[in-house]
Amino acid sequence: MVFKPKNLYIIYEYIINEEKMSEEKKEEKIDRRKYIKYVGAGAAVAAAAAIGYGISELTRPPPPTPTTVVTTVPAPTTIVTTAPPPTTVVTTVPTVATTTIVTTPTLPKKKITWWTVVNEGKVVGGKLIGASPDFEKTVLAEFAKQYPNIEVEVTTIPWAELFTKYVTALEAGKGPDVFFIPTTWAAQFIYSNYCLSLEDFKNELDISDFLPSALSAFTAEGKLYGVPMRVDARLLTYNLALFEEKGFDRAPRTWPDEVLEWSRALTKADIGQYGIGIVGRQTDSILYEFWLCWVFTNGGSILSKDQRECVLNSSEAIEALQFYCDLLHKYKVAPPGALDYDKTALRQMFIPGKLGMYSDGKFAIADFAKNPQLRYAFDLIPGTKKVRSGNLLGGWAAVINSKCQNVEEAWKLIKFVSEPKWMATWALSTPARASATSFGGYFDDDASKKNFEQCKYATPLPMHPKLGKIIPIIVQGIGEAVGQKKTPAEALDWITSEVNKLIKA
Amino acid sequence: MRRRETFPYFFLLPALVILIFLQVYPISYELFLSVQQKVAGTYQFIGIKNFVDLFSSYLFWHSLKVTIIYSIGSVSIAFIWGFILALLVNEKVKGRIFFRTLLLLPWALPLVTVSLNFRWIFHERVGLANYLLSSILGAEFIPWLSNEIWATVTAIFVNAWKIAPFGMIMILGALQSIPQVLYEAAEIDGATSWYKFIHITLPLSRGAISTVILMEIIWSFCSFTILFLLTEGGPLNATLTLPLYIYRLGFKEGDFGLAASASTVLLLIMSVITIIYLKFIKKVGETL
Repeated sequence: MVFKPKNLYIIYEYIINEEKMSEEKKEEKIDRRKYIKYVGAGAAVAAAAAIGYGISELTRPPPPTPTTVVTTVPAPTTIVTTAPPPTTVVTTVPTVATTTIVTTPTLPKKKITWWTVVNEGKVVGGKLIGASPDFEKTVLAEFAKQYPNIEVEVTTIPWAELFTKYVTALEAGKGPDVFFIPTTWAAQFIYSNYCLSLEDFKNELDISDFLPSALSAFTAEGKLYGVPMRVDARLLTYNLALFEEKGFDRAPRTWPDEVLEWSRALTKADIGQYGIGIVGRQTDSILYEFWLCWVFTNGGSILSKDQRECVLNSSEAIEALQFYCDLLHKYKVAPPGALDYDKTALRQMFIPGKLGMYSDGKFAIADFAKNPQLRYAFDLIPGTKKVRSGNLLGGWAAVINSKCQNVEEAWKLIKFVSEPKWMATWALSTPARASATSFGGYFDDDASKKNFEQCKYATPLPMHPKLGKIIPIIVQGIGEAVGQKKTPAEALDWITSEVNKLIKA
Repeated sequence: MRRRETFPYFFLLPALVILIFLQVYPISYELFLSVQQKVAGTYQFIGIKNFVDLFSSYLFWHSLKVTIIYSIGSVSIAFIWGFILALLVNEKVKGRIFFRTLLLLPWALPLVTVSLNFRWIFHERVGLANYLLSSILGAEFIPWLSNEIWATVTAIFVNAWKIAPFGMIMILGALQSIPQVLYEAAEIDGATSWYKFIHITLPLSRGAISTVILMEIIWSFCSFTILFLLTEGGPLNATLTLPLYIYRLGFKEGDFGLAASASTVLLLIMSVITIIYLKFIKKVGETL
C-alpha cells in the first residue's frame, strides 16, 4: 500500500472502531471536508513555525563555525584505584582525539567545563607554541595526572563568536565552569554577576608575581574576579624597508612633531602609499588606537579618578583627538576610507607595503610570517616629550562562573593553567606574571621585549558598572569625529555629556 | 464523536511540541524580558519603561528607517534580478542546467563566507573591486564601505546577490507550469513578446511572485549576518538595521530588557507582514 496522508485517517478510524470500519470508510468519503480541515490546521502550524523561525533568527546568535571539543579523562598510566575491590576496567577507544577510561569508582568523579578562545599560537625558534587545541590537550593530560578525579571538557571557540556564545549561555544561567575573558569585557561580566569572586582563593597564588595593572583590570570593588593569563599592548608597527628608503633609522617617539614628520615623508599618495594608519570603524577596538594612547600621554583620561564623571572633553583629550583626525583630513598622510578600517584592514595595506606605520600588536606576527618579503619592526606608541608612551591595557584572564557547582575543582584548573609554564605556553604576547616571562626562551625576541616595555605604560579600562553602555557612546563619538560629522571638540563634548547622563541616571 | 474530534490532534503533537520549545517559549521569554530590567544581576519588573526609552531613542528610529531602506532596496534588486535570471534560464539554450546551477550558487554559499569575502573585495585601498575598476577603467577608488551612502548601496547589493537565486528558482517553477498552448494561441492571434509577457507570463506567475516578494521582505527585515560581518552597522550607523541594533543593545551593552522590547516591536512588524502575506496567498489561491 502506498503511504498517503489520507491513510492516516483510515488508521485512526480503525483504532476507534474496527467493526465499523467499512461504514466509517463510507463516511470518510463524504467527510473529506473535515479531513482537509485537519490537514489545513497542520499546514498552518508548519507555516507558523516557518515564520517563527525567521523571527527567531534574531534572537539566535550568528551561526557558529565548528568548534573543537576535546574531552580528556585520566591517562591509563595514572589511574590509582585505592578502595576495594580493586577492579579496574580500561576501555580505550581507538581514535586519535579521545581516550576514555572507565574505572570502578573510588571517589565520585567531578566534571567541569572550560571554554576558551581559539589560540593560534606563536612561533618560537621556528616551532609553533601554544596553538589550540594542542595546548588544551597537553595541559589537560598533565592536569589529569595531578587530579585524576576531575574530568575537564574543554571547548575552544573562535574569537568572532566568543562574546555572543558567552553572553547567551551566561545570561541563561548556564555556561562553562571556567572561561577566559579579555579585559574589555571584564566590567560587564563582573557587574552582570557572571563571574565568581576569587577572594577566597587568591592567597594560594603568588600575587606579587602578577603585573599589577593586569590584576586591577579584573578587580571590582576591591575583589579579584579573574586570574590574569596574558597582557596585550598595542605597538607602533612599522615597515622597515619604507623607513630605510627615507633614511629613518628609528620610529617616531613623540607626537605631534615626529609622527607628522615621519608620516609626511612616508606618504606617496599617487601610488597609494600612506605614512600612518588611522582607524574609524566603529567597534570596541577603536579604544586601543592612537587617539586614546595620545589622550593618556597628554595627561587625559576617560573617567575622573572617583569615576563619578567623564572627563573626555578635557583640553588634553581634545588636542590628542584633533591631531588624530588631522592626520587623515588636514595633512592627508593616512589612507582615505578610515571609517571602514580596523587594525585588520590596515594590516592588509601594511603587508603589501602601502602603509608606513600603524597600531597593531605582537599578535600580528602570525599574519606577517606568511609574507616573508615583509620586513617590519615594533616600537612603543609615540608619546609626548614628558611621557615616553601610553596605551590601553588589553589581555585575558581565567574566571569562574558564578553559577559553578564545583568551585573547588574549577579553581584547581585555574591555578594549574596559570602556572608559569602553562601561562608562558598559552600567552601569545606577554604572560601576566613575571616568572613566566623567562620560561623556555619564549619571550626573548625583540617584539616581546617591546611588548613588556609597552605594558608598563598601559592603563586598564575603568572598572565601572555601566562600562558596557559607556563604550558604545565613546565608539560612536570617535567615529563621528573621524567621519567629520562633528569636530573633535564637539564629539568629545557629546561623549562627555552622554556618559555623564548615563552615570548620573 | 467527541473522540473523533480530538484524536487527530495527536497527529499534530510532535509539531506542537517542537513549536512550543523552539518558538513559543523563546518568544514568551522575550515578551517577559521586554518589561524587565536587570539591576545588580537580577531582573525586576519595570512595566513599559523599556518601550518608552526605546521610542525616545534616536538610534531606534534611525535603525528602523535603515531597515526599511535596506529591505526595499534589497527586495527590488533581488526580485528584478531573480525574474530576469528565471526568464533567461527558462529559454532552451545550450548548457542551461550548468547555468542554473551556477546561478544558484550564491544561495548555497554560507553567509559568513560570502560576507567576509565581500568585505575584502570592497576594501577601498586593496580590494579587488577598486583594483579592477581602476586598472581597467581608470576609475577613482570608490569608498564602498567607508561612505555612508556607498556602504548602504554595497550592503543592499550583497544581500540582493545572496537572495536573488531564491526568486529565480520560484519564478522558474511558475514559468514552467504555464501551458505552452497559451503562448501558441497568443502567437496565432498576433501577440508580441511584450504582450505575451504582460498578459500571460505575469498573471500566471502571480502566486510565485507574491511569495518571493514577501519572503524576501521578511528575510531582509531580519537579516543580520551579512551586515554584521560586512559593516557592523557602520560607517556612522549608516547600515545599522533593527536586528543589528537589537544585538548591540543586548550583547554589547548588556541591556537585554531594552533589546527584548526592540525585538517585540520587530515581532509586531513581522506579524503584520505575515498576516498580509497569508491573506494574500489565500486570495491568490482562491482566484487561481
